[in-house]
Amino acid sequence: MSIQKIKILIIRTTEESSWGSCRVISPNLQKTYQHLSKEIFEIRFFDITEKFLLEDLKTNSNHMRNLANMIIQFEPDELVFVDHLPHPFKILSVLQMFLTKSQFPTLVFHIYGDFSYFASDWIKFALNFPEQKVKFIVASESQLKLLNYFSKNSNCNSRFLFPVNSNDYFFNSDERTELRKKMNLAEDDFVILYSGRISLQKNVDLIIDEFSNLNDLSPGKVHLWIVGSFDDLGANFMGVNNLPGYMFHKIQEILDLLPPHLREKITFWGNQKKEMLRKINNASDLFISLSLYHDEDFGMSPAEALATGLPTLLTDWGGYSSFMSKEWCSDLVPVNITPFGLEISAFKMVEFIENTLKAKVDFSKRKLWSDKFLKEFSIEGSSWKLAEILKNETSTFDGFSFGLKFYQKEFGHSLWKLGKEISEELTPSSENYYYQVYQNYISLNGRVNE
Amino acid sequence: MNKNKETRVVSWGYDLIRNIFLNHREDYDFQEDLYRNYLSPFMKDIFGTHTPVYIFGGQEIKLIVEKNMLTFRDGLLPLTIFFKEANVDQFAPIIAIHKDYHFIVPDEWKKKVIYYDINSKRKYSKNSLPKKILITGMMNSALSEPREFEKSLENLAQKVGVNNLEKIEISCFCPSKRNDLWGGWEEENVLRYSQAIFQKLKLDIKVPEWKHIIQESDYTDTLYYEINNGFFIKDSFPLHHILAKGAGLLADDESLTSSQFKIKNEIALSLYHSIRFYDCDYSTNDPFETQVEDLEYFKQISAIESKNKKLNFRWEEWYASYIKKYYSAAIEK
Repeated sequence: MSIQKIKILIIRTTEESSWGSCRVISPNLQKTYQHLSKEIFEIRFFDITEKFLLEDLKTNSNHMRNLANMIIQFEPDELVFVDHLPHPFKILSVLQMFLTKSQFPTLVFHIYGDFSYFASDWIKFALNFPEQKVKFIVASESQLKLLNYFSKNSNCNSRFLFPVNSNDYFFNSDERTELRKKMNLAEDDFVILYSGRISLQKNVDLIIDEFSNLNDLSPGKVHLWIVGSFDDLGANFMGVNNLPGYMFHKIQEILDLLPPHLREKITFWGNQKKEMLRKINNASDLFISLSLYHDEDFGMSPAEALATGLPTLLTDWGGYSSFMSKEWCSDLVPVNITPFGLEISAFKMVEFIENTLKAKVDFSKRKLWSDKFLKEFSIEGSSWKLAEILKNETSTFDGFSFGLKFYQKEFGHSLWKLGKEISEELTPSSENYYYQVYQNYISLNGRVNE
Repeated sequence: MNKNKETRVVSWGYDLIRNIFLNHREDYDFQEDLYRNYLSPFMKDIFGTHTPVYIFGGQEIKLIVEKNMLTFRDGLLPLTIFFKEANVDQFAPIIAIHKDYHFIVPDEWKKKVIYYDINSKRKYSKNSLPKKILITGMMNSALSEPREFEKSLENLAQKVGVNNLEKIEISCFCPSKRNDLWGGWEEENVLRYSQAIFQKLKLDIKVPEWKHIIQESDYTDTLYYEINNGFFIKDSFPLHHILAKGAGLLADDESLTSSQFKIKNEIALSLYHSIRFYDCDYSTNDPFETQVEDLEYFKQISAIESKNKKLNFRWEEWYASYIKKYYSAAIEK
């Protein structure tokens, strides 16, 4: 007697996301689905572009009609949305023209960091699909807490990380040696790496500020490498809008205040393709990110760094806390939401870096940490977790809480006042709505590696 | 360091203040702004310690005059009108204009005016080919006559090498606008511009939408080429945006470099491009000044007696009618 397979129809976009991390996340997620056991799952894909949503509904060549027909014929158990754009609600609202309520299978959404940004679309989804069977899959514990806060009940919410491709990121000692030689680094030179967007909420300025203090630990031997492009997104959720070119100037002003002997130890690599980024990770000694980004649901850059076995220091913020483990070398910098803003512990930062400097991590440790991280976070290592979620029973979605509607209203106001005044409710403070939402982003785990 | 108490407070309110260095008028309505919308997406504010502004950009004039230095991003027409109508004693700051327009500066302004151009770290030529070319421009005769458009494309092909074009990926973003910047709209066939692109370059041209161009984060190995007669804006937003993402400009033709300008300062605007400021040696007879025959109209505008001494930089109320009246008169002469 043959076991009935679970039929999965995956909707994916053929247009590359404008968001750098999403260009990596989506293909890796798709590969994870393809890695699922073919004895248990039957997987099909449907490719979509934003143009499909604008097509004339009456024509026979309408692509959304084709998707609807595919759903009717294939009868998937679950309809999966692996991309953040086009927004799933926009796709579903067109599909509603062709399918009855009973023809919609369980809807599975991979939720990205921009969940709150698209609050209005999610609210519309809830209104248009009452009592729909749904699974929301977020990438980290903190994002799960955030989603639970925004949901009437948490039955539909689960967690599956964004996998790392182990063919792209792994520890390679030869790459380390080669690049360090090219950069004229001695064995005892210590390289601190930040990779990611150089954006306001990523606090790269703070890393540079702290770098000048860190140099006292090992004078002339500590370097700072910064990989990524400048972006001027600002903090639009609270009304702070940066003009194009602002972030570069902000960083430049900080650099101009540094004495020459420190300035020459900082290297800006610009944007790098993944092969070079892996080499840079391999050649570095510590990865740091002090991000307090309001949509930090996961952290692809830290994940890639950990995949190369790099000791990693991250703010206790958003998705970052999900990377903590005794299996590899990582730690969190405590974050506090105070009445006056966000506060991070510089002492904890210095302590971790000091310890890592003294530890003199060798190749075998890097390889061990890399292997252990990839065992859990790689496509091959993590696919079983995805399988469990897909096999689990589905719950009916009760809708989003008032919290999401309030967030949408406040965010909308921020965008309307963008660049003119700051939002009272969404400016970081322990005394307003910001705290209610973003306290979910602080794990309070503190030190896990003793 | 007191290890128990050392914390860092993160606050972004100061960044808000720094980014509103150009206060716009209270009654300035972006949605109804004919001028900015017409020149979109080329006309957009950028940040800079050199206070980059558009004269006709909706700013409070009294706040502009309080700045120590202003860098005018405008093209020849607004600059001509500015120097004609503004009072030199009213403006305390140093003013920088693009060095291509040095000839427009009246004598009484010369002590306050310095000159700038934009430089890129990467430069491309026949000997150093890009892998990609991104061309931007506008397709209507108010902003680029068809013949000017063609000449620009011919120039590009010649600089890169006609035989090399096939191996370079070429993308083109040229929005068409109705030719009615100052009223009196006439239909024109914008296919003339498309035809020029295909004839002067090649048939296989990509045509991305602006939202995809702006979202791309990596323009390394890309030559940025802007077709812009510079009448209305000279320093555009796409120029800065694309160069900041790694693109480069055409290499300067050394034989045409004027000895009139002496570089005084260079400010980095990104990892890949900068703005250079120059002093001008007015005593030097610039042999290339005569090459501005097409711009003779602007000298005539400068010379026309103006009875309108009201300094008002609102496009809708005054500038449009001013342009129509004096520009048309100059052309008729």
